[in-house]
Amino acid sequence: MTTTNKFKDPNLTEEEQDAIIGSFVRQREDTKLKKRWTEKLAKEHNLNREVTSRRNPAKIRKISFLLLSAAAALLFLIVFLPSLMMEDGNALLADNLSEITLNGSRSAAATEDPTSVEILRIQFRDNFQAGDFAAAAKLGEQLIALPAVTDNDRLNLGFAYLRASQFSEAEKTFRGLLAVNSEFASEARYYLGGTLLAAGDTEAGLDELRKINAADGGRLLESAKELLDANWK
Amino acid sequence: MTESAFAELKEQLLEGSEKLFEHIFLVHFKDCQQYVMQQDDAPYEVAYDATMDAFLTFRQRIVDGKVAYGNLRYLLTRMARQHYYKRAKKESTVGLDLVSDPSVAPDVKFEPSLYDLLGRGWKTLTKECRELLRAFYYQGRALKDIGAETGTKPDTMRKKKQRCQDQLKTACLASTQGQ
Repeated sequence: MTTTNKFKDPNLTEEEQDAIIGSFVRQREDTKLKKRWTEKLAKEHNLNREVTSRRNPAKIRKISFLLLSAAAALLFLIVFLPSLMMEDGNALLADNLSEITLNGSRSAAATEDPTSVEILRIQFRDNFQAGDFAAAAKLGEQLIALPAVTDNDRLNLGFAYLRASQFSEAEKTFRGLLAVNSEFASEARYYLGGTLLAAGDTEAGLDELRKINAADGGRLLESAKELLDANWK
Repeated sequence: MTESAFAELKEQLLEGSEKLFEHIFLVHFKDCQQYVMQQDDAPYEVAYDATMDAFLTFRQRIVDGKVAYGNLRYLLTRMARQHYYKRAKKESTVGLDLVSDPSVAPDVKFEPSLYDLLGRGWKTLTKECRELLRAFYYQGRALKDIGAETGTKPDTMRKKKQRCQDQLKTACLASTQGQ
């Protein structure tokens, strides 16, 4: 019996009807999502399903990838081999930075009548959480130009700059929070240290971390100590 | 992605908002597609389709509560490779544990005529019915949770769902008789 005939069968059980309708709804919604995503990929990322070049691009890419990998490995060995045996402060810092979460993020669904500030905050958070830190930083810049901005927004903008490797902007933002003795001064101090370390200014970064004390909170103090104890040579 | 961001992603999907997931999709699609091409020597278009399939599977698994927080990038790329194997008909040699969940009954395979028929019937449903069926079947929400938003009892929700299904079936049957 075809599925069509089965569906028309008056003796169709509730479970069978449920399975058919459920499958239809899922396939229909998946098709809609696919269509929307395909359009967005093409429009916003210039990524189309069809390629123009047919000269076995996968193979060419694979060979290029292997050559590049070999070159990178060689370079890595020449430059970094002497420090391979030491504890790596940069790796610790990278782990640390990848765990940054936004302060005071809020659910989009909970906002019933969003103002422009709230909309920007939601967009900022969505971009940040999706890993698009450069886009988040741009939205954060728009946000802090508005009168209703808070130090929390400024701190989050600093995070976005830091994750987007825009170190000078991140430094300026964190220093700004320290200058006004913000309620987020402790966080600003810690991430200013992290920013300077990430930017390669190791001594200045460690100096900032040395200023973190028990009054800044146990978590920040512990994280600062870990970075201070790591090998930065 | 942090654990709290993942929790929010899940919450948004369960509330019917695709926004955050779509953003993640757009940011990571290309990398995932290229990974499949590099690892499996997959042709561009097949890798594109497999990656698209993987994101849909990934989304559905999150909605169904079958993805726990962890190395999500690894999970997604494995899903994409398994979808590629499936599309390239290599499933006999490679396991498809991530894209063929044995604990879930597979979706019904439709003849195109039935899919069209249901599509026509779907358009005749009220907005309320469409939203109810979508929330139940696609967003994976329980009837009692859907009803809680409007203060409707679970029993009433079950009857509503049944009425919507009946309306869809009646519309489909009427459509075939009219042909």
